[in-house]
Amino acid sequence: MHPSTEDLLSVRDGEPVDASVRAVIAEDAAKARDVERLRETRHALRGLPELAPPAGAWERIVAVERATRERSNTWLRRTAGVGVAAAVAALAIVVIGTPSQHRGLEPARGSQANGASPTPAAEAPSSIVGTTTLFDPDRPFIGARIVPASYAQLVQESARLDRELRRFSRQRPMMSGETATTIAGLEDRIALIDEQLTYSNARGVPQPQRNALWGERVELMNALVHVRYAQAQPAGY
Amino acid sequence: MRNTIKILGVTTLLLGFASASAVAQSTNSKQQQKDSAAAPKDEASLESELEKARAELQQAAREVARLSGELAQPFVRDFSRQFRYGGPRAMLGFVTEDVERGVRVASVTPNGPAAEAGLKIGDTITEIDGAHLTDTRTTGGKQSPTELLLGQMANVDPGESVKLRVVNEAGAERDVTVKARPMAANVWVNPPTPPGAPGPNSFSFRGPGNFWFFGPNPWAQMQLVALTPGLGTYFGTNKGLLVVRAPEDATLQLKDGDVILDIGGREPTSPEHAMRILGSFQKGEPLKITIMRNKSKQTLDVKLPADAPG
Repeated sequence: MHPSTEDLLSVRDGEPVDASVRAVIAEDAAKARDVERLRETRHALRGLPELAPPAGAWERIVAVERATRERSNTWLRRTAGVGVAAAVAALAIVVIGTPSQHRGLEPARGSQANGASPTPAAEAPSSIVGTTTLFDPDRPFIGARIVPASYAQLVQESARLDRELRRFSRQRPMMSGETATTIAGLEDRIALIDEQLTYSNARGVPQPQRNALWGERVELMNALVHVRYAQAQPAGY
Repeated sequence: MRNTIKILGVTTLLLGFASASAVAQSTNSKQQQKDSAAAPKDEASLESELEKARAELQQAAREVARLSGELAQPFVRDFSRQFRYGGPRAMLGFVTEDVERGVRVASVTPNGPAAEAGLKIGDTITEIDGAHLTDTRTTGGKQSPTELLLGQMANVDPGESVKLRVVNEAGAERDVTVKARPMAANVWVNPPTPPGAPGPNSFSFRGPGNFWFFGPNPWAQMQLVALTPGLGTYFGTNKGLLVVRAPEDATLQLKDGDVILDIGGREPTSPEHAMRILGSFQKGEPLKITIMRNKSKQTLDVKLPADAPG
C-alpha cells in the first residue's frame, strides 16, 4: 500500500480515508512527515498577505472570456447548426439527383439483346447520379462530388462510407426515439440490399441491376453517415 | 411521371427547408458577430435551432430511404416472393465477391451480425462450419464460392451461430463466430404506405404475413442511452438502456431513470436496437419489458397501441 498525494491531502484535511491508508501513515515516519509538510505549506499559504488585484483586472478577464465564448459560439454554429442544415441540403440533393431513369434498375437493353456476358466495369450504367453530395470528412457538407458510376468505384465508395460510419458508431450518444427509428430503418434497408447483392452474385443477375443495388447502398450509407454525424455534434459546450 | 412529380415535390420542399435553415443560420451568424459586445446568444435557442436542423436532416434521410425503396420495388418484390415461400432465412450481414479460395467481404452491413463479430471489408472467408468455399468451377465443378456459402446457410436457422475461417488482407488467418439473424423479406422503414397513413414520422408494427400497421411514433421524444459499467453502479446493473427522458405516451409505462433490461425477452444493446425490437411486434400485441427501477428489477406488462390507423 502506497498512499497517494490525494490520500495524504485527505488525511491532512481530516477527510475520511481508507483504514489501510491511515495504518500506513501511522507506521511510516516518512509518510507522517509528508503529511506534516503539507500542513505547514497550507499554513504558510494562509499566512500570505492579501493583495488587491490591479485596477480593471476583472473586467479584462471578463472581456477575454466573452471573446473566447463568442468565437466558440460562432464555431459551434458553423460546425453544428450550419453543418447540419447543409447536411439536409446534401441529402436533398441526393434525392433530387436520383431520377429513376438514371438508376439502371432495368438491365441495359443492349447487353440483354446481344447476350453479352456482363463484366463489372464494362456494364456499369453510364450515369447513376450526376450531382449527389457525398460525405467528406474534411469538408463535411461543402464539397459536391460526382457519384462514381462503375462497379469498382461504387464498391470503393461504399467502403469509404463504411469507414466513416465506424468512426461515429463507436460513440454511444444519447438518442431520441425518433433518431433511433430513423437509424434502425436505414440499417434494415441496407441489410436487405446486402442480402439482395449476395443473392444477385450467386444467381448471375445482370451487372446493371447489381450496380443499381450498389448505387442504392451508397445512397443509404451516405444518408446514414449524415444522420450519425449530426447526432455526434455537440448541442452545447 | 407520377414518381418524378412526387420526387420533385419532396425535394423542393426539402431544399426549401435546407436553404431556409442555412440562410437563417448564416444570417444569425453575421448578426451574432456584429453583436459580439452584447449578451451572448441564448444557448436554449441555439440548441433549438440545432434540434430543428437535425429533425430536417432525419426527414431527408427517411425520404432518401423511402424513395430509393420505391424505385427498387420491382427488384424487391422478386426478392420478397422468394422469401415468402422459403420461410424465415438466416443472414450474416455482408456482401460477397467470389475469389478463388472463397468469398471476399465486399461490404459489411452496419450493426449486422458480421459487423458485431468483427468481420471487415477485405476479409476472405475460406470455410463455413468446416465446409470449404473454394471455387469448384476451376476444377470442373459448377458452384461458385457464394453459391457454396448460401448452400450452407440454407441449413442455418436464425439465432444459430456459424464458425467462419477468415483470412485478412495481410494473410493472417482466424476463426470468427457469427450469430445469424432472421432476414425479413421487407423492412419497416419502407413498407408500402397505405392511403391516409401518417407522414414520415410514422411508426409501423410488423403484422402477420406482409401486413403493416401504421401510427404516429409515440416514442419519438423518448431519450435513451446505453449504460456503461461505471454509470451502471448508480442503477444497480451494468447493462441495459437508461431512460433519460420517458415518453409522454404511457403505453410502455417507463419513467425517467428506468433501465431497460429486455423487451419481450430480447436485450436491447442500443436505442436503435430497442426501436427495432418494438417495431417487430404487432399492433395490440402484449409484451413484457424488464427494467431496473430504483435498483430493483421489475417486469412491466405492456400492450402495444391497437388504435393506430391501419
